[in-house]
Amino acid sequence: MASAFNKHNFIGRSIRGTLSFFRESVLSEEHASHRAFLQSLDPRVKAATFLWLCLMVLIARNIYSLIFLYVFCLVLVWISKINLGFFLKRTWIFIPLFSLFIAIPALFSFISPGEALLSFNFLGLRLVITRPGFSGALLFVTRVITSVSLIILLGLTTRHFALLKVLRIFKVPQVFVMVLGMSYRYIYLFVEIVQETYQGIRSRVGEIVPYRKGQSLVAWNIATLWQRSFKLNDDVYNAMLSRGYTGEPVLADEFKASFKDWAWVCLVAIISGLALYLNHG
Amino acid sequence: MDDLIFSLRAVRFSYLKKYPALGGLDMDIARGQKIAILGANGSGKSTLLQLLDGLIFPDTGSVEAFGRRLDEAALNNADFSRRFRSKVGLVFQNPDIQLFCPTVKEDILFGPLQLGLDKAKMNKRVDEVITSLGIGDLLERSPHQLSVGEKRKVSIATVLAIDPDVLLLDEPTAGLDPQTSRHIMDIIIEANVKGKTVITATHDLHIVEEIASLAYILSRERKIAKSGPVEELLKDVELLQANNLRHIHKHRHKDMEHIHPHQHTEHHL
Repeated sequence: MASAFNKHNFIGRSIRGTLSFFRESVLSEEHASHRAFLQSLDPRVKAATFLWLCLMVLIARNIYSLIFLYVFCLVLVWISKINLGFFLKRTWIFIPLFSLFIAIPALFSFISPGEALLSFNFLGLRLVITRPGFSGALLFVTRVITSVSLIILLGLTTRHFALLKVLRIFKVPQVFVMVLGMSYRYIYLFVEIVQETYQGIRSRVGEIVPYRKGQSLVAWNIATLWQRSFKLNDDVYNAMLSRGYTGEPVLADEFKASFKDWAWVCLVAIISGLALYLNHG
Repeated sequence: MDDLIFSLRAVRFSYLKKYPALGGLDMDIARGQKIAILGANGSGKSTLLQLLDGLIFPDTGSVEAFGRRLDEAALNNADFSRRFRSKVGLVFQNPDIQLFCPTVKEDILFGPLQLGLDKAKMNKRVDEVITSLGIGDLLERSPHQLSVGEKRKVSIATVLAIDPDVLLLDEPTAGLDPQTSRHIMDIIIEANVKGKTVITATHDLHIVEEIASLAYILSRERKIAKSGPVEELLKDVELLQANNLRHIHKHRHKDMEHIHPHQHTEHHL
């Protein structure tokens, strides 16, 4: 019965899939809570330097410069106590999605003319991979993998609420940062409500629900969740008023750059210098 | 009475102007008192606390706080509002409402920051609260990662960080294990010993004698059925039974079954 349920129950699978995505991707802070190098840096310094490194990746014109930055990223993964296999699996998933499909046509002579590197017949067509095409595609894919790796590394080693604080250095209004923080906090509560409601329905109506009945249950649930969120909105606003909120939020500014942060900034400056040297070398 | 903090006269309140929640209350609360608001579910306890905290206002009748009428106009005055919020703190029944920030630390700092406390004073007060409640290891955690008991302690910390003169608590021990419940009661008692006025809404009669010396019982009609010293009210079995705070309970002792009234937080089968 359970397997039939899993196979045919679209609602059940969707709810479980969404919940597990939230739990694993949004709410899990397993790597961010390790006591390791990147995790110990001030999130604002870290975010600014990672954006700088991404900029270096964008302006890199030389494959050696990009490989150097990618290797640096992998070293950071290692010293931040993140499983390298897990990291590679997570980052390389993005490669076919974002770059490979774009890069493949650029390999061939009809997009990138030049010296032939490899030729073959496909469906009666003679396709030629050229040296400039291959170099261009390699440069593009390496640039994407390095940028994606840096951003994923930043996300993995920084607690999500701390990333929100980073917005403050870009002068995003405090109220906006606060609302984002509250949304993050309440996602979990709503995830729990959805799960409990779904379990409640299953316990009463059974595993297999007719299609029309399923539709009406989902619609009813959406309406109930909306009502609950509306009520919660009122209650939370009252709780804020009760503690002195007047419409202009004041948030704690805990920016404390330590020696380690400045040492990291110096290291990033050296790495950037070397990447630029390789770029023009 | 010089020390009068709250004075309520013929207070009526209804939700959406059609669902009555309070049906005409008179009440005087003096500085330093420890008061219990007793009543069954739906008797208006939470509504009363929200009225005392200036979050809702009566349909008819009046609420006075610190010698001034507590209404929207008064709380729109920035100066009065700031003073009032510094003096009165409400711990909501549902910690998920009280804890709206991404981390425990931000939640504790929220009140002092909004009320404009200077940094040194704020840090000292927050440190004291954290030490006294033993929640130092929870600071960087998100509220959704806490147990119910931890959430309740942090909720109280968010209010104690403001250091209010009046502490309003809505069902502070509901759903807690005995040890956490005891800890919460100790916090309430300590706050009163330090001079705070403590008003606790509850239907848990086991804790009332310790956390209050004076009690108000709210009736099903959402009026004050009776008020007076706690020991006196708890002896009035008929009064408690009539207001759903005590129920008939059937027991079996070996082969003998007998029936007698009981005070319970939750009903047993």
